[in-house]
Amino acid sequence: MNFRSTAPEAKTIKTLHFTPPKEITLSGGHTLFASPKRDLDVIKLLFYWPTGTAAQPQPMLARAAQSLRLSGNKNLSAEQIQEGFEYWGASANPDVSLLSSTLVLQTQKQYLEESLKWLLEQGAEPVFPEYELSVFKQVENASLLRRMQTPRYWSSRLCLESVYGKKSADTSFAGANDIEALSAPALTNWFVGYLTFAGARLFASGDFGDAELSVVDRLIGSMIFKKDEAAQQEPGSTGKPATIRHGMEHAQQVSLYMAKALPRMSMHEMQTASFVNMFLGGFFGSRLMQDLRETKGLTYGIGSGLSQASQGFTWYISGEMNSSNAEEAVEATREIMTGLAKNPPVGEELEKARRYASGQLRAGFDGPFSLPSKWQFLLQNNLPESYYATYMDRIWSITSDEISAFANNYLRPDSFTLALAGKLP
Amino acid sequence: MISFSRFVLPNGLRVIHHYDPDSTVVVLNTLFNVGARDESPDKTGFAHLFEHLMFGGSKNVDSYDKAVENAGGSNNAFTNNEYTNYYITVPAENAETAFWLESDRMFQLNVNSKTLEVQRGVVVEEFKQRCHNAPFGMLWHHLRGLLYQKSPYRWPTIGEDISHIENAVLSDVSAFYKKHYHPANAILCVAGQISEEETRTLCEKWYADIAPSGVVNSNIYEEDPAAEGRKFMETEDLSPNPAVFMVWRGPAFMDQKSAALELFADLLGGSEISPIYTRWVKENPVFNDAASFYIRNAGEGMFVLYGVLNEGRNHHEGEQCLMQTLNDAVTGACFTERHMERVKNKATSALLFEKASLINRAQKLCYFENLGNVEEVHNEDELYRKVSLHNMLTAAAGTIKPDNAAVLYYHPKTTS
Repeated sequence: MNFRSTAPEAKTIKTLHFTPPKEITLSGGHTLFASPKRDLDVIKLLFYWPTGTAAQPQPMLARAAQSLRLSGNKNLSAEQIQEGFEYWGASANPDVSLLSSTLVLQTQKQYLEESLKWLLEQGAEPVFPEYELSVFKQVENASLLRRMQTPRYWSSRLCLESVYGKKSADTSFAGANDIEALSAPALTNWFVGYLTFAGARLFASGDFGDAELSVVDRLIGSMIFKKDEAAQQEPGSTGKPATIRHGMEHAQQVSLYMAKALPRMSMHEMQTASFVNMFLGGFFGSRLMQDLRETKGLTYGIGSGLSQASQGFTWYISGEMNSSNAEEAVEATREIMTGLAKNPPVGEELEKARRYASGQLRAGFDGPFSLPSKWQFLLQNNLPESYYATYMDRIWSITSDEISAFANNYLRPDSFTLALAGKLP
Repeated sequence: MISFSRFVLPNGLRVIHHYDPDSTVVVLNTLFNVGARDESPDKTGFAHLFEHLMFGGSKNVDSYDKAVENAGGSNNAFTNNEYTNYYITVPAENAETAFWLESDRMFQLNVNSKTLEVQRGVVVEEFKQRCHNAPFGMLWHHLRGLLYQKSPYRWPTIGEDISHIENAVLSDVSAFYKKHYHPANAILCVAGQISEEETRTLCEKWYADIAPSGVVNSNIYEEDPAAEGRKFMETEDLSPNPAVFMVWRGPAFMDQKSAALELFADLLGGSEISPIYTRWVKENPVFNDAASFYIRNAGEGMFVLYGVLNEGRNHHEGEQCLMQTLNDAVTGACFTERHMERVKNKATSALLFEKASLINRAQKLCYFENLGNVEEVHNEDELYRKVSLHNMLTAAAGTIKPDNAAVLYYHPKTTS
């Protein structure tokens, strides 16, 4: 008997194994979520603000304000500030998404005090110097021009602008004029309103124990927490589904992007959406990936996802392919979308996806820096701590009929806008 | 400090075990000592194509991916000029599934014409997406072609020419598998929530009967003679901005000078406070992007310096700016002991953060084993710490000589 012909039993994963972060209130009222300590000699301290691009009054403002917060204050230049971080081997990395802004201080444990003190001193009152702003504009303009050479940029942009409208909070694609319009007073207003240290929630992970907590409390606890309410968000007005074709002279492939707006949903529905998306294009074994790539060889990559929108989520499908394959790929994609309602996964396909999803859900909590993003998602969507445990239950309890009903409600091909950009067929 | 143990199976498979009690998963990382440099010049891109074929199923596994997903795991792989690396992560209770899957495709891969046809199509699309549809997508084709005439480092992993992949036939790939994919040419790292005892037992069970079948790559390859004289080319690209790229050949990973050059590149153009960036992007904006970096390879390394020009600036001016600052730096006019302390602290932090990831640790252990001695993984930081300002500048002066640069000018594509 060939022992290799028998697969070892693969056990099902039905529980999560992780210790949730400890919620601590610092002396000044700030909330800090501390992940379990790991002996790594390094720490990540994440500052979180609940306001992102969806609330900005002009494109690019939120990202520019966060990117330039360490670009100079009344005492020191951008170079001096940056040199201070690098000298300790530390970094402060900004990021802005639709509904949040973050700044992550990465440092060796032994330099936590020096680098945090430096961050709090130098990043508290930026003046957004004209010189730094002009460099930022120059670099951003050039980067934008390069992105505009790729079919993917145009397929996603034209598709989302069609779904939400050009001026919506969900589609703030910045043009050269928007970049040029950035000004120090506007950046300062935004910063003071939504990005002050006094208004941040904190997430600590890595080698973070009592001694480090005491350092953070001493340095941040002296500020009084001031809750910055997220600015009023303008919902995108969803337009009629359309088909858009955008030719590009030098392109060698065509980029496909399909999208639609999903409304705000209950926790239960969000979990269903997430699971149904998996079958569509959310993992390697998904129908899109298996059919278009692994069976037909039409594309290097195609997938689908749910991204946060100001009033719910955007459901999208994207991929790049040879021009001669595009029509076949679009047709196959539509069939797969329809097929999820007509022939929802049953038996082996459903079981395999459950096993994969549950394993990945657990693996997502592995590693010393995994918890902050999980808890950020909860905060952003106002979800309870039990969300992940109930999602595990949902993975194992969802039925084929529920998948079919959800796909029938939300995944009809004619409800998605399709954009093709590049070398058109 | 990464703790590990090492043993070798009679068939030559080198195994490294690394226990992580905090993890809930097990990682199997398999490094095959075969990369693009082991390809024939008329069949480039094969190592990478083969990476795709490794997911097509094996003698006892109809679908590799289905079996991984069934165990709640995930997997991926990458290829470079020197080796091909596969990694699979599974929940700890399903560790044996990973042993079964990884060993079976080392035992007998199922390569057939249907799988080859599909993956040829996938890789051709990948080639177009990465190389033809993105600004500077052909950069490494051009730079490697300029640097080398004989060395197999002269083509990038994706392949020199798309036709090599389009023309790949079953007999070629079968021969490639037999030659390179066997235990004596591989290193396995088992990491995570699994004991050494269980690792040994599972390795014995699943790998011990796989016979070595091909060559054990020696890491020796045809080298070009030392670079002499400036090499130059200009070409058109999708980028709307013209650009200047300069590149030099450099020492191998384990050479102390390699660490020195990495630090030098970081100081020269590795951040927004480097002289290349502050002088030519900020103070006198000749470029809208400019940087330098050093690529450390087991074989030769590469020192890269580049700038993307602003409107109204020309290539000659750009090259002069880059060379002027490079010359200032090499001759000691830019950096002090404080710079050295800073760049070493950055390197130490980067290493510590890198090692926080279980997959990174597993890959690092395999990499150092492949270099010849896994124990060297403990000296990685020391290699940086030992670099002095003097020997950093000496290494830079000995490697980055103005008269042996390979220089590439990019022009925006003209409308046809």
